[in-house]
Amino acid sequence: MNLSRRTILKGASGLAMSLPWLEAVADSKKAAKAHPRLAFMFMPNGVHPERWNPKEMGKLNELSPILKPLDPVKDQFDVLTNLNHKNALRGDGHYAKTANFISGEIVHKTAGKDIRCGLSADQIIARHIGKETPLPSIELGIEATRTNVDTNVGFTQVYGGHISWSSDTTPTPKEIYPQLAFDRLFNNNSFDNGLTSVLDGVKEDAKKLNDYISVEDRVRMDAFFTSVRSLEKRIVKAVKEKEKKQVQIPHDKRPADGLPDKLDTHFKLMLDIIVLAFQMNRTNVVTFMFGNSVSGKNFSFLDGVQGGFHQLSHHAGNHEKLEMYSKINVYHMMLFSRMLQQMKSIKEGDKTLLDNSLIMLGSGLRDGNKHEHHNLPMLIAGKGGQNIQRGFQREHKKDTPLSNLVLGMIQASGVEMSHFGGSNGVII
Amino acid sequence: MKVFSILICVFMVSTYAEDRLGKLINKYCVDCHGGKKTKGDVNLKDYDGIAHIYKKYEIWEDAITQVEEGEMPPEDEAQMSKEDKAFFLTKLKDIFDNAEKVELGDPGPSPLRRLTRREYNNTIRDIFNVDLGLGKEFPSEGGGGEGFDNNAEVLNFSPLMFEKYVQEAKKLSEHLTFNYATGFEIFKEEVPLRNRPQRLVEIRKQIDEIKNSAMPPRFQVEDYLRQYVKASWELLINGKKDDDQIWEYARSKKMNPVFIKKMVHYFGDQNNKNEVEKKYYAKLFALKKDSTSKEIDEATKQVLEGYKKARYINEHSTPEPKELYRHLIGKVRGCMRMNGKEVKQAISEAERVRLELMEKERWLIEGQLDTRTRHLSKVFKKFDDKKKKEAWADPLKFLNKKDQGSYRWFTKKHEEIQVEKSKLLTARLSELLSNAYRRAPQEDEVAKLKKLFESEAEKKGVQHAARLVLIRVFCSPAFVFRVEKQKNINENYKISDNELAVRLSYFLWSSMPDQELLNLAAQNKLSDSKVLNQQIDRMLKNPKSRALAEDFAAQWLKFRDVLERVELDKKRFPEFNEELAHDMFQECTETFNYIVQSDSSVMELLDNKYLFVNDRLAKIYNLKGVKGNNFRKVDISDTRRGGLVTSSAMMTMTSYPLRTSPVLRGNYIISALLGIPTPPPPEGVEELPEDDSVADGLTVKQRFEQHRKDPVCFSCHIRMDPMGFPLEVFDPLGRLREKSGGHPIDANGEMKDGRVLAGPSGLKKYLLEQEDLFLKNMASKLLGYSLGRSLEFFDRYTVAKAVRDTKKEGYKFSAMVKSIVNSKLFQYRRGVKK
Repeated sequence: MNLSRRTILKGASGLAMSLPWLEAVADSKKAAKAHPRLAFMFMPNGVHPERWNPKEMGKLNELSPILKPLDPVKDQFDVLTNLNHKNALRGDGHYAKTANFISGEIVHKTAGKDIRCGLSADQIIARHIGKETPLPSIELGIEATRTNVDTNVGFTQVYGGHISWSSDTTPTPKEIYPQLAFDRLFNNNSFDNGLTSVLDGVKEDAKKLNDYISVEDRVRMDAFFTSVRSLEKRIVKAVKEKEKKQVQIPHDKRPADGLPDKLDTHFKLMLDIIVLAFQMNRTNVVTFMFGNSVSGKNFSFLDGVQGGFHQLSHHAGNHEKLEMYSKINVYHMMLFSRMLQQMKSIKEGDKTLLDNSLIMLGSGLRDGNKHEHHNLPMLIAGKGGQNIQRGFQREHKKDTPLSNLVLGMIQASGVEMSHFGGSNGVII
Repeated sequence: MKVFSILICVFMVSTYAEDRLGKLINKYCVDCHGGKKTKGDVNLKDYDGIAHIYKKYEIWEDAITQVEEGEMPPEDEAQMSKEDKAFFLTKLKDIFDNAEKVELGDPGPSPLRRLTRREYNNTIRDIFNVDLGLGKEFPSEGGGGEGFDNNAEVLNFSPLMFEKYVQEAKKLSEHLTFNYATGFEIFKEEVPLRNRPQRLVEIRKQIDEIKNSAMPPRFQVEDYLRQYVKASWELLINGKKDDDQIWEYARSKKMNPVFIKKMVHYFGDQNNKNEVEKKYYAKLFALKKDSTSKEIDEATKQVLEGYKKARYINEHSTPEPKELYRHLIGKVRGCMRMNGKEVKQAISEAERVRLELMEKERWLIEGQLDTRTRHLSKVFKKFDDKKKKEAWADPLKFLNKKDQGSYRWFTKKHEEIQVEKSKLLTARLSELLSNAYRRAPQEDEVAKLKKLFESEAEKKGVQHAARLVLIRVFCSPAFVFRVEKQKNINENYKISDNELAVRLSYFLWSSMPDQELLNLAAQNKLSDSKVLNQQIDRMLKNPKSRALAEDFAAQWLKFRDVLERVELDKKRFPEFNEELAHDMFQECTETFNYIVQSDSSVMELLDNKYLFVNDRLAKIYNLKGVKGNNFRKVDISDTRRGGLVTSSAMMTMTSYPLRTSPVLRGNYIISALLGIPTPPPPEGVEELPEDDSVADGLTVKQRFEQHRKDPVCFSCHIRMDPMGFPLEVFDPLGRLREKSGGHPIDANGEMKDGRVLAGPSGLKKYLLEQEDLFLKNMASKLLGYSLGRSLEFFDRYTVAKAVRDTKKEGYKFSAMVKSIVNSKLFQYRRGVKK
């Protein structure tokens, strides 16, 4: 099932899609307090370094070859230059520049013994405003984390598969099945009151086992206990929602079971779910990974592309490879543009969903061939409900910390924080 | 810290020697590895004597190799004097050797581990004997420690994870039927939620099967026939010819009763056989009750041959009269076919059995409660409301003598049944728990579960209650985690036999212990080394030990990559598709599994004289006469082949989309097989063309030699490249080739010391000579996998001992496993005094 066309059509007509917002308006107190929706989107493997930036600073006129697909929404985003992920300096290759994408910390080099890379911004925000939505946050992607250690560089693949970290040491796993993500979003999985007795029992078991196990293990058991509690809370919310008939599940948009055969379909389904989640106020915080670190996903379905993403990113200056590399970049921007257009077409009062959102999109590398982390390809879209001018290429000072942007996102969410991951200012 | 102080006592390091080592390090190493520069990510600034060596032993181990081989200090830096170098190496090696000779007794941490998604499914599979393929939608684990997904450190828990556990348990419960007599049973198909006892579901299934099996499946006629011939012989020899007996037999074996019945009649009548039949059935009729399974197999095989021949003769001329054969094939075919009437009969027969059973089950499950209630309401019908209420409260008062008698009888029966049911429920729940929790359940655990069951059963029915209980059990931390008791003492202590059984079975089977292990553990016999070793032998021979190939070997030797990650160019290599990738993967698992199951030398991983292939792989390997996609063992004479080193999977994994890469291949051999870490290439190094068909006149080898001239590159490449070049005779799919990019292949790898590895055979010969490195690496990986954690300095003794033990026992895989399982690391826990 491909819902893309329908979504756009409905969105464009402004009819079918407007309902959830009206409901939110009805509850005026909530509407006044409404938080912006925040998305953090990660692209693996960098971009063609010569084709990312538009030629001129300032107002966006002619877009660069990669950004071309964003033309229809060019007044909705900024291109940020000269951002640098300082803490990514430590460690070779991709991993040190992935896991900490929005945590701003150093990725501790390890094969798995002592995984550590800092609490990520989305989780900081989710802790703060997560209570207000059925789900505090969602983490989405399209590739399962690989199950080994990259012995070439001595990093566990755990780092390559996660940008969201619920604690210093614990990655938040991402959902890669569109249908499961959908069901979770709308509590469409018949978790109901009947489960309460089960969960009570399970909690009792956990408490009992605590007397039995070592102090270190209690930390692990605690993560289990917290997970049970979190489901309990969700069930309470879900049951209330059902009783009040607050939730309307857009059943026609429910993706088919299993993983889509086509990468293109997979991407679109996942991005549609993000839009749906924001539109229907299911969550305010989303992370999305276009691929894991060193993603070798095959993009041969694109015209003129032959081979895996990572392989092509190591273009070694080869013209043909660079061409293919940038085609993949362009494709990512087509997806992003499609998403922004959908969000722009959804009205929320006199604004649009996009106006009320902030979306940060970028990569931990600039040129994938050199594993560069200076002047990262970075975009920010939407206005977060504020009065922000978009549609510029902003020239920042050389090596401005990426954390400034992440801090901007955190502050926009309403969390009071003055410094984050080596920031020396705020970008929004 | 405790460890270090013990170590220091053990080694009795003299301050002088330590000072001298420290001075050398300061003088020759710290310039590049410490302070401002930390080349290769090595920082020795915090070097504080021997403790540093224990803590960061990986660095120092590498240092020995580097200094020994003259890589460090680099040529353009100050060099150590001969004397200094000798001291430096001897000192460091001493420290390492000591750790290999002395068992320090620290079992290391054994953190709480949840089941991996594969272990999760295996465990449920083994509890219920049905593989539902659960856990596929769990987030994958990532990898850690020695490179495995069963590493405690990567087995995180998150809300999403728990939700998935609940979802999966719900899915499982939809396949459940519960019955007080037979307990919790899981079916491959979903079971509709009704109070339908399990056996009835089975009968229902059989009716469907009969409906669908008016003819045997088309492509498996031979297997099918053989099965039925055997079945009918078994019934005949035991004198079971009645319909009921045949039905009972068919039910238990899940076979078509009509087919069996016909066959029994056909074979049972010996007089009515012609010459051909007699000829082919001779062996079958000659069988005795105590015949061996081999004899039975032989006999059924002969029957089948007759059938095959008859089929053949039907279409071709034959010296023997066709009619005789026609008769045979007609008879056999007749047995395997049902006409409409027979189908109907069979179904009604199944229905009859179903009804009979239903009666029996009703008695047990519903008791006579309904009957009693119905009877009373009949009597009380004429009463007014008030009297009715009183009557229900105390029925005896309102009944006549006769009714009083039957009421008392009903009540007694009812009570009996309730008691029986309660007893049975306790037993069934204990069974479920002991399986799911992998230990004897505690009384209160069963009691609580029973309470939940009974209250739910009252509200929503027995099947519903059973489902809820199932979800409850499979979401419990006692199932989800492999819990070991932490004793509150200072000393390290031996884990319980039950805990040992669990460690062992998840190590060798990636699943729960079976009944035999649990029984031995319950009798505290498992920790007896003799019993333990017997069990290891038994477990390795069990098909479940395939998990070692699919989980351990596939991650250690990285051939999971061939499924997950290979991106060969499809235009250049149209043969490479998902199917072939799976074949490549399976070749590796078959090979490893063969070594495990036949307990062969682990050195066969490096070189041997056989291959596991199917038709598709045979094409890659250019082997003639292999038909069908089943895997089989084929002996080979080409010494370039054999062993996983030259397998198609390895050759593919270590290639770029358009060309082979001697560097990746060499690196794979050095790091994955020999366990020598290789640092990543420095950033910004110019790379080689991605295609070996670029026409710039240079061979791949020449290009590499050019590349290596750069001293930055040389130190690593001189180790990797000579291992990769001999494999250049294989293209990216592992096919032999004469040329690469139009140039003849130069398959000689010249090592730094001048030795030349000539072709794959030369390389393998060299690798076999490196047995100590290989075994040490394999033992480290196997130990790390078995413990589910990263290895520490104090694990070295066990690794070294495993290598010694393996060599002593003819390099047998079981010897390495036994050595590990019998170690303190595997059998002890750290004591922690609160």
